[in-house]
Amino acid sequence: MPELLRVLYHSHRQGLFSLALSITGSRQLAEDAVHEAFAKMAGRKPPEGDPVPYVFKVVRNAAIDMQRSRRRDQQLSVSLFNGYSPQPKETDPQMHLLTKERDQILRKAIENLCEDEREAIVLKALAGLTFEQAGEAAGIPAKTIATRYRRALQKLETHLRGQI
Amino acid sequence: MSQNEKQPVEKLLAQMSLQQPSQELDDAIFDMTRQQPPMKVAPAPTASFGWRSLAATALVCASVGIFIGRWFPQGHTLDSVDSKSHLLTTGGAPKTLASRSADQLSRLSLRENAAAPLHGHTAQIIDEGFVLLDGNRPSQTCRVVKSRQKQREYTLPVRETVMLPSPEI
Repeated sequence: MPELLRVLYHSHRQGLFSLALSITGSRQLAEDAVHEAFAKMAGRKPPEGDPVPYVFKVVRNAAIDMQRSRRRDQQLSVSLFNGYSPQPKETDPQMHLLTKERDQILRKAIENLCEDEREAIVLKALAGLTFEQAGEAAGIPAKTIATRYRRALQKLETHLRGQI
Repeated sequence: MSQNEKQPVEKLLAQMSLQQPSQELDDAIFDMTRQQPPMKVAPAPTASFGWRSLAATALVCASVGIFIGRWFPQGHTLDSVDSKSHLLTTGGAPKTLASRSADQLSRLSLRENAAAPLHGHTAQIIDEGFVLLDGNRPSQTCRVVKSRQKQREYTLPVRETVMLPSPEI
């Protein structure tokens, strides 16, 4: 199991951390949640099925526990994103500014999504899971998370069209 | 729309830079997964152990029962004399026992029910048992032996004349 966990963390560290961050809203709590989840899994037997959704599920549960244990007055909200990352081929300054502005609008739109839709975006678009894996990690059917994901994309597109 | 066909919004999402976990977390996870933690061993189900011990106990009890059943002679029934681990044996002349037939008296071993007519007779206790007295003369000597035809290890210490107790006593 430890060897498998190391490989899984290496492959999905970004997605796992983003999931925990989207739930807790705090870098520290997100890291604590990931660490606690891996500490729990290290003492267990490997899952019989696909280990990827299993790892995401344990991290998700740990993040939810962290978020619940936090006091109401300590509500934090840290963005999932660092900011705009320019593509190497973008050399036009005007295009650069437009893209940066679009990126900021998109960030704000994602953070304004409801929890379920944001979770679907994180699991599918940011962590790169399939709908089946994302559904298993979130504890819901794949069709349900696919529906949430498409609804979230429509909201983002509508938001972007109205802003840009 | 298939899963592989990406919408423009999805392409934008893929271009965005995400917050990275710290190096400290990476190190902690890699340290944790490098060492082999002891796997939790599931406790053995107690139900199976109970059944096993119960079966073993039943087997032992059955074996002991069979052994005891073979050891005792067939048709033998326990009576009050066996519980006392004593038998009354006749050692003297049985002629003075008027209520007993010659065939019965010829047997060496007498059980308590067979010796019931002795109750109420005067007897003298000796080392081996007692001597029935007919008036002042000894009429019959009865030896007390342990059951299973084993002689008593300790003789009776006192010689005295007593009245044999009645059965209810």
